[in-house]
Amino acid sequence: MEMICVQDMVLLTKERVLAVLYPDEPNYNEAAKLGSDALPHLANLVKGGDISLAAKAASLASFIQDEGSVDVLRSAAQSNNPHVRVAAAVGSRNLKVTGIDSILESLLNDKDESIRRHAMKSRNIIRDRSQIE
Amino acid sequence: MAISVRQIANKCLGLQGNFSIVKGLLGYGSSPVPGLTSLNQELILLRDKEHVTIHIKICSSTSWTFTSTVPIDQMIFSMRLVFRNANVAVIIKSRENLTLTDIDIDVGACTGTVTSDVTTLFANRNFVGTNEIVAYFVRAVLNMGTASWNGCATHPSGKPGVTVDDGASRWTLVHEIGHVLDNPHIEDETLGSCPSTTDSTQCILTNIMTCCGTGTIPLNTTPTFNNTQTQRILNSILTILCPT
Repeated sequence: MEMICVQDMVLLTKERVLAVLYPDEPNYNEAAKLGSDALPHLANLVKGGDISLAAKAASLASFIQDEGSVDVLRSAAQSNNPHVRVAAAVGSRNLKVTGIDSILESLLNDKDESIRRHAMKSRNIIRDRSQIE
Repeated sequence: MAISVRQIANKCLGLQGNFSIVKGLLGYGSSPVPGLTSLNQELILLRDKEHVTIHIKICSSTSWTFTSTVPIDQMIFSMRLVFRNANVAVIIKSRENLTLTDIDIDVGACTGTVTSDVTTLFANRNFVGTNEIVAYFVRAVLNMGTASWNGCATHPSGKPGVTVDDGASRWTLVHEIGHVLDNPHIEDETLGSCPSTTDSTQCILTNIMTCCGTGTIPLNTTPTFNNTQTQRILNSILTILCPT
C-alpha cells in the first residue's frame, strides 16, 4: 500500500504566497518553487486592489512553468491598471507553455504605447526561441 | 543658540529671498506636511549634523501620468523619520516632472551592472550636483526586464540614485537610498540570506533594510538603521555638512 506523508499534503496558504511577494525586490526564481499550488492565490491577487501585489503576482506566475499560469497572465493582461498589464506583457516571455500568443495579441493592441512595445518585444523573443528549438 | 531658518535655508539650500518652508526648505510637493514633524528638530539637524541631498524626478509618458499608491510626500516624510533617528538630515533640493518614452525601467539584475534603460533614465540630471542622489519615480521597475519590483538602487558610476515604482510602500524610497549609502539587506548580513521564501518569522521588520518587504513593516513602527548601518551612511561621500 502506498504511504502518503501528511506533511506533503499541507495546503499552500495565501500567507505563504504573500510572504514571497511582499519583498520590495522579490526573488522570483526562489518563489517559483512554490509551484502550481500558488496559482489560485496569484489569480486572486491579480484581480485584487493592491497594485503592487497584483503586478508581482503576475510576475511570479510567469516564473511557474505550468499551463495554469497562462490564465493568471491573461487576467493580468485584462487589468484596468497599466502596471499590471506591463507585468503580463514582459512576463509572458518567461513562460514556455502554449497559449501565450492570445495574451500577447490583446496586449499588442493595448491603448498604452509602452505596453504595446513590451508585448512586441515578448512576441519577438518567443518567436526567436521557437525557431531555435 | 537661536536658529535662523533663513540662514540655514541659505547655507544648506542656497535659498534667498522669500521661500516656502514646506516646499522650499522641506521639499514637499504640497501643504500640509504629511505627518507630525518638528521644524525645529529638522533645522537643528541641518545646522549641526550631516545630511543627504536628494532630487525627486517624477516620470510620466504621453499616455500615462505618474500616480502612486503612497503619495511621494508621504515617502519623503517617512524617509526623514528614519534618517532623523540616525541623526542625519534630508534635503530635497529639487522636484521635477519628466515626460519620457520609457517609464517601465529594465534594471537588469539590480546588482550593480547598469542597463541601457538605467543609463538613459539617469541621464536626466537637471539641477543635480556632485554627490547628490536622484530618486526617479517610474511606473514599473523590472528585474531582468521581466518581473515587477518596487525599487532598485543600481545607478551609473558617479550618478547616485534609485528607481521607485508606483506601487512602492511608504518606506521603499528610504530603503533604496539605504542601499545607495552602502547598506545591504539586514537579513543577508545577520542570517546569510533572505528568509522571505523560507521562514518569514525570521524577518527583521524593525530595520529599514529588511529584505522581507518594507510594506510589511507594522503600522506605528518607524524602522531604523542600526549603528553599523548609520556608520556606513556617515562614512559615505554622499553625506556632508552644510557649508559654514
